Amino acid sequence: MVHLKINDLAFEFDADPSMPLLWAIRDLAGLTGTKYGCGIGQCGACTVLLDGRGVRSCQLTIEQAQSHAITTIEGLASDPVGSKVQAAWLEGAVIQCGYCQSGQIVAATALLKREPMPNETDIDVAMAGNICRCGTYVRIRKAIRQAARS
Amino acid sequence: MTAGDKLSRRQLLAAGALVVTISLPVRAWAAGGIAADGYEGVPSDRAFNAFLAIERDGQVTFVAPSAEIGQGIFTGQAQVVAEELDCDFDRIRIVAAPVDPAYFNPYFSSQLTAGSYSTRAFWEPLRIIGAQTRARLIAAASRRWAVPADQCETSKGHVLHPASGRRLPYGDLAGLAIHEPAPPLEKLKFKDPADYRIIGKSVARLDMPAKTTGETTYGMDVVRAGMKFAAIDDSPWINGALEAVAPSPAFAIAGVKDVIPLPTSVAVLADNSWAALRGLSALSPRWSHPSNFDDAGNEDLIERARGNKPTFREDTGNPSAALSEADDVIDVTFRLPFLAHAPLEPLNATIDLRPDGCDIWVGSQAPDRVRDVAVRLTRLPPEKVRVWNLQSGGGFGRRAGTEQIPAAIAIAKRAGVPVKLFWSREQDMRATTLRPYWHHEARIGLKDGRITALDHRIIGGSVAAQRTPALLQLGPDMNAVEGARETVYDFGASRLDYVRIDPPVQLAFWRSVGPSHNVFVIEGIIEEAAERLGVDPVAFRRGIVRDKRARRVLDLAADKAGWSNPAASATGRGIALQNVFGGYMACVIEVVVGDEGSVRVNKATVALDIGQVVNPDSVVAQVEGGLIFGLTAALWGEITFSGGRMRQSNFHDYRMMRLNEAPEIDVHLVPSEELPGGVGEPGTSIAFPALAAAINAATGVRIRDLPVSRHARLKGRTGLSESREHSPPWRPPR
Repeated sequence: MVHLKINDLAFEFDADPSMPLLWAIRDLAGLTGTKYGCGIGQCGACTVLLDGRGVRSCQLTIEQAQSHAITTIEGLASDPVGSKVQAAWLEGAVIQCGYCQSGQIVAATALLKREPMPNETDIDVAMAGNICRCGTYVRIRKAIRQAARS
Repeated sequence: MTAGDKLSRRQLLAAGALVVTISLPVRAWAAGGIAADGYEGVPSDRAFNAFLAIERDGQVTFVAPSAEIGQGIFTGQAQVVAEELDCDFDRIRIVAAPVDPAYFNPYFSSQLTAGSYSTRAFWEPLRIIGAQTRARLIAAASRRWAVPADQCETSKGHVLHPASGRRLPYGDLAGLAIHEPAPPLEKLKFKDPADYRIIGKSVARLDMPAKTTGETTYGMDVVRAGMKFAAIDDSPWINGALEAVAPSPAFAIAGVKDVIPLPTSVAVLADNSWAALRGLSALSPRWSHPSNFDDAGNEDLIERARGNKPTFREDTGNPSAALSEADDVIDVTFRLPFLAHAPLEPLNATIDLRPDGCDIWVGSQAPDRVRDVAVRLTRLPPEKVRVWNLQSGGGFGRRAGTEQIPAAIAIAKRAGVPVKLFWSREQDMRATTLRPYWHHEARIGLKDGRITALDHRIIGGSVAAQRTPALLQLGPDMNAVEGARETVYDFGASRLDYVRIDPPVQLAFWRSVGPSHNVFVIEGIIEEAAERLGVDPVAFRRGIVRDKRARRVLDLAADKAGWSNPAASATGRGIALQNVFGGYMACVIEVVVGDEGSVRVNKATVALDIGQVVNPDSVVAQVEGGLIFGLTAALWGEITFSGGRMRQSNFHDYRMMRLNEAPEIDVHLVPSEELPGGVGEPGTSIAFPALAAAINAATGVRIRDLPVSRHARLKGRTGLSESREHSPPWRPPR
């Protein structure tokens, strides 16, 4: 049995311990806001918070994720920084197709938790791992600045 | 439908829109399942037509005919219909259309979302729908109040009778109003554009809140009771078939339920995605290897076709005479690679196949094609196959195909339970359909300081020949010639040839289709000529553009980009101009080329005139995204082949632009009351030539072959390294 704590809820899964956290979140916990995009840690669509830090859930097994607090996009609304980022995303009309945006929003939340007033280089470094195929980068940058100010 | 371009607005109305509005009122609502499963709560007795229903509490349900693939069309089309309906925009909810001719795009005569046509094609039909519905609400109120209809007005979801001060909300009237006949078109009153309060406003996209919270259900996210998950690998070899596969290694993985051999692929069915992927990777299928197609083979195909009789030829004036009379002739060749779409959501489909019917959940640009494929493969009657078209995680042309559907149906037939087939990223690349490789040759005749002759030959594969051969009966292959055939310039005498070749790969329309190669080439020709003549690129264009709208965006972009001020050192600025998808656009790109050969795109300044704008902020977003899509491809995009297989497999070797590489983008809209143009694609086509011109300005190197990353010779002249290196690998923040 693998025990996971996702968005403050305790889950118990009879599952392959080597299953990437991504698939457990999506298929076993039924939280489909976290997305699969590449499976090799290149696109960032699967980003979740692990004890408040951004991680690629496709690169972490559920065994490794045990005993850590996992927060997905569905849990961000109850996080003060996360909800601020979500509000800035709406205000900045960031989103197009939206498929990458759970990962973008979680990655931005992780940045602002670590560095509440990031400079441009901080934003570059923190967000370079998240691909947006629709090309919303200009607005993501602005929304992060906005969230930091708010 | 390319022939749609040739229809007048009047013909279009007669052929498509009127049929949509008048002869198919509520049929789709009743038959298509809108009122049923999934869209609970809108009974068909509150539906006015295939597009609008108004509930007792005033909520307006709008069935959007086009697919939401990120472009914002749901909100844009809702704005158009809401304006003429004169409802409260805050009371609108949008649902995706079922498959029904009522929702066919009149340009295509199918339910295709493509070609930046959705706003253009539905601009009139949706205004008619809105105005007709409003007229019926007024008729119901006037009957109830026993006053003449022409004494009634509407305001934000209410019918008013100013003389008596009475007012009723639409929700109270809808039950009566659906019995009122729709007035004929000639009796409809449309708003004066000066009175628009929804069209032309940057209303917030209605799909955005659910996309910030993870609540939006994409195809990948569909869950049905008892559902199993299927992963699939196509043959890695071009056109390879499955010869044999031993299933036992997959069954050793916990959760694997079945191994399904298919003609050109093998699939594994399991209790969850991970088990399916692991099961698949445990297999060692044997594939046939029918082709050794590679990059050299592609060049051979082109070389052998160079002198062929063209598939299409169009002469203006006498180009050979004009060339022989020219003072100077420039011969130039351009090459553009195969490209994949790589939407971030890989293809997928969820199928619930029963003896008496089939439901399909999918994000598609062509849900009618999905339905047709399913009907053919299940032998069910069309009305028993329902397609639930979901919002897509990117389209770009990729989702106009149905490549995932046959395998999904085959697996569902065998499984006997609902099945979600999802493609891994590697499968999405391996089984990708491709923007054709294009080879262009041009002879440019110069005389008296201008271009007096152009002989332009295009060689490449035909998407239409593979996918929609019927279109080729209607006119030229637009994916080959659009953007080259009609340009904003006067070239004097010209010849345009298209020579078709048939590479052994699957081809597809790709964001900005014909202009994705032709705008690069036409603008490249302009740059070559301007350079040879020693004329400033903006001044040169200004001298040969044929219409005012083109000149205006050219001047505006140049002005806003500070074209007349010298660029900073190591910085290059390039400009491009186009009239495609019904709109005019000019773009100035500024790059810095580093000593290491790195090209940094600093800034893009865009001016556009796309006629009447529905949602300015969505237009700006499409320009921004279109540019990033084009810049990504121009800098790094190429699909290549070796020994009969594709080299690229995931984002580590099919590089995407990232946030740290994205330019500042400054967009300027020219106010216009012309008919709306399309905006999903122009940003993409213009990025290629503007970038190439900017690199030339910075380095003196002409980019005629794409992608830019091929140009080893940029290195050392503040040029670009040959690097296929990728962005810094992501690391978890410390």
